[in-house]
Amino acid sequence: MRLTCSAGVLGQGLHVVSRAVSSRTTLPILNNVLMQTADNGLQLTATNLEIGIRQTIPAQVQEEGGITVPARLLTDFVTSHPEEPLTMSLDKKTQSLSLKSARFDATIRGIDPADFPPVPAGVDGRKVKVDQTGLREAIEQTVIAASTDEGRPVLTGVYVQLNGGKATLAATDGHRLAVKTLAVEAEAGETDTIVVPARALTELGRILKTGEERIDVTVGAQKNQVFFKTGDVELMSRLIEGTYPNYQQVIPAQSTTTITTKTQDLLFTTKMVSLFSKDAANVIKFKTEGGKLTLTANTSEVGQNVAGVDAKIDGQDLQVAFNSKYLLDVLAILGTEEVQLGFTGPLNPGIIRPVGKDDYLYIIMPVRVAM
Amino acid sequence: MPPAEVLPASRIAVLPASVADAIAAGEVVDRPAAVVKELVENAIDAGAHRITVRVQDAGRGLVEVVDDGSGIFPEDLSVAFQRHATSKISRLEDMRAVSTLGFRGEALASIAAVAEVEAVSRAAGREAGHRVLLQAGAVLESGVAGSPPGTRLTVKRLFFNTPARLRFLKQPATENGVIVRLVSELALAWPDRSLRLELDGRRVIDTSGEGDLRATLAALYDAETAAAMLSLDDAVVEGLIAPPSIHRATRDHTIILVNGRRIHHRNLAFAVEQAYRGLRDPDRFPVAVLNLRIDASDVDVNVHPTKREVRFRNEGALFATIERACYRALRRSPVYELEAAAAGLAIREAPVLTPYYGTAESGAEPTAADASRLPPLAYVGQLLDSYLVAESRDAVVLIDQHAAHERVLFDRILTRLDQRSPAGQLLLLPQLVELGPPQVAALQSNQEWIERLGFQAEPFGPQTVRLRAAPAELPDRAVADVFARLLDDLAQDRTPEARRRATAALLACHGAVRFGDRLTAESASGLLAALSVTAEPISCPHGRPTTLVLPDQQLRRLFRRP
Repeated sequence: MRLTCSAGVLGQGLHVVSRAVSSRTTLPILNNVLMQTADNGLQLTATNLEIGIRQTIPAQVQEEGGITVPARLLTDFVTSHPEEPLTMSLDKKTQSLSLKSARFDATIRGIDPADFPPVPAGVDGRKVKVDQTGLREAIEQTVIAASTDEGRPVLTGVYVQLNGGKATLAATDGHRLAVKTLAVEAEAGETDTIVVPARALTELGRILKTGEERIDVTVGAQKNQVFFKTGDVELMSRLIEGTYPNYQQVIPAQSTTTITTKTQDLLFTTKMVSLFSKDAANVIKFKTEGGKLTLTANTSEVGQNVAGVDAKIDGQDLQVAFNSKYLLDVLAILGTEEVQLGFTGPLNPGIIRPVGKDDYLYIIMPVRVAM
Repeated sequence: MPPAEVLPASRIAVLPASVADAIAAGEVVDRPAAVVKELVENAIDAGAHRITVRVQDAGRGLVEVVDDGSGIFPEDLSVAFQRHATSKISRLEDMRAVSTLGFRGEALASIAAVAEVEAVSRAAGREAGHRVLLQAGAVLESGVAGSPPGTRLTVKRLFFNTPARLRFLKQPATENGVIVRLVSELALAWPDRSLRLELDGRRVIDTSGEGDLRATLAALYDAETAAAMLSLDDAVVEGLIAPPSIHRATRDHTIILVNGRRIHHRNLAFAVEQAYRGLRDPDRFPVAVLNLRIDASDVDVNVHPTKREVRFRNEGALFATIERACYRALRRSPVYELEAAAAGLAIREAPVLTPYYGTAESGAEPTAADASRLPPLAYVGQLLDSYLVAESRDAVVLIDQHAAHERVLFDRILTRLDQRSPAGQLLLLPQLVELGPPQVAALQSNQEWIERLGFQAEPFGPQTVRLRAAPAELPDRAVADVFARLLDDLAQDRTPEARRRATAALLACHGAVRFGDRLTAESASGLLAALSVTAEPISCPHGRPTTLVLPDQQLRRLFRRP
């Protein structure tokens, strides 16, 4: 293996694939990045066995080959290196990679690429195309509701339903639910459902750029893997097996109280008030009375905070309590100037929507408290 | 069918004295340990300082007690073996204020009735000793004999004339175990006497008799345990109790003495256990040696022939006094410190020495001020996804993240229960729980309590309920399991209120972050802050330590810095 590439380009590539390097692992080779020569380029691959990321960067290849080296050291070296050509060559006998430039002559001990776990390239399967910007927003708005508790694995994923030209993403941790719909380009009449790990989608979201460019999504024929490809970057993830709960029945058809207010104002006020609920399971209370909205949090040993919010209120007076974290999460990613909250009483699901958009909704389950 | 056997008509007659004695002996002497007990107590009453007990063949072969006490006058030696012969009381009035261990005058007679007994004794001030040999209560030999000052009582062929008793003896190991425990207890009751026990020639117990309870405990347990014991010295209650980190699987290690006499009193032992509430596992029990100093007229010891049971004039007040004294000693107990030891690191409970810890006014009710306080902690990082590391003044502090969070949630849940302000997170996906009949019954009769915890359950078929809400602290995965366990607990006969702390501990345990959960710096700092304001931050509701302090001076020793 012998090649020359730009230190800057290599650094960017390493930055992308390093997201899949596991920081704590009992398998040392997973701390490494796999480098293999490819058609007119160098292919970088990293995996933590759950997801894998691969990127090909331009390089002049003089001799083919491959090696794995510690991702951290290589990334630190390359990103600190001046922007100039780097020549890499592998000593196969010692499995050490030499990096040479005008002023530096470094050698890094590596591990044989044969020991690296296989990271398949997406080939067969159902393919759809989706807009990058839209997908990034959809990921951001749904992963917040996914569970982080491995106790019910299916809830740690985002449930994706493909139905013709439409994809619906849903996530819930049992206390809240986020549902987002976006347009996709697929063959007519195609339907499919998969559960993608939320962590994989979060990483995908970091890789996705804003722009017109579309991303290819391939669901493996075995329905156990999914591949995302955008430009020269590929991300692959295992899929979560299991039956996703039927969330549709939870979504309330109408509300008896609706509150419309400025998103940022409600976010700020909720933050301020919830400082006083940290020791009380984050519970804050909403109260509407005479056209006014009041937020309250109190913890007997800490104190309390009461705040008013300018809002337009329709319907019955209401008192409802919920976990402020669930509200803060959604307000931070809603993306519209105004938000609408709908309730049908203190013990029924509340529904939160961005005003002016009908492709997103967020359900929040109240907390029963003594009012 | 054979003809029915006709029993010969029996005449009713008064039993010969020897038979009557053998029957009565059974009340006092039921197993070899009882012989040991009676003889050692006699030796103690005789003012002996050094008492040696030799046992062979689990007591069936030999029980011998040698003391250096005041001895028995020759003319008294045979009388001593007659029933109700005693030097300890002489008038009925004396019984109201018994201060010696024995007094009923039954022991020697009872033993002599069921064994072969040799007694050799030289009374203080006499030139020579005297010896008697008895079998089944009858004197076989009597005469002058050489003897050092004191008494040697040798009991052989125990129960030779009561085969039923012999048959009911347990395995030698069991009988030996009872003897060891008995002598240990006597040694703890009398730290100023040197007690020695030899089983088949092997020395098992040897206490110094220097009058130091802690030293005696060290001889019976081990030096570390003895060093860690917390001392109590109240007007009424004195002794040592173990810190929460030291516990045993049985109640046998809680020893209660009344004016030096070992008693068995379920309720008073429970008072000690109560003081550990929130600090111990339900199936682990304290190590404690407590002596109650009570006016002899306030206690009636003449309830049971072996004096194991006693009655108190004011048991309720005594219960409260014991519980309070133990509670205070425990809560003043200290944070857990790590120190360099031969085997690496050892855990010890640091003495109370800094202003971080509150001090208790004597006589006051236990308050939060009695509790241990953690020093201010600055969060440093997380280790192995399980431990938090913090820095304190001149010390590294390690925190078990699960135990710490458990403690925080436990206090929070208890507060909520006390204030009757439940926080039940409604579930987006109601969970179905299958119940057994006892659980269904428990649910029906405790509906209000279950809702106060934050649960909301509705029937969904005869044996199934649908959970629509759960306590806000519980993660989704734990909801159904905790609910079912809760009903199991309620199906027992205890009332919900009695189970308040156990329930809070159950919820806290399942709600807490687990070993292996990675925490963000923010939530870890938040946890430390929350822990420091709990009432008992040093241990989790099950009694395990939450924090270990590794003082800088110990680290220096470990790194061998000068």
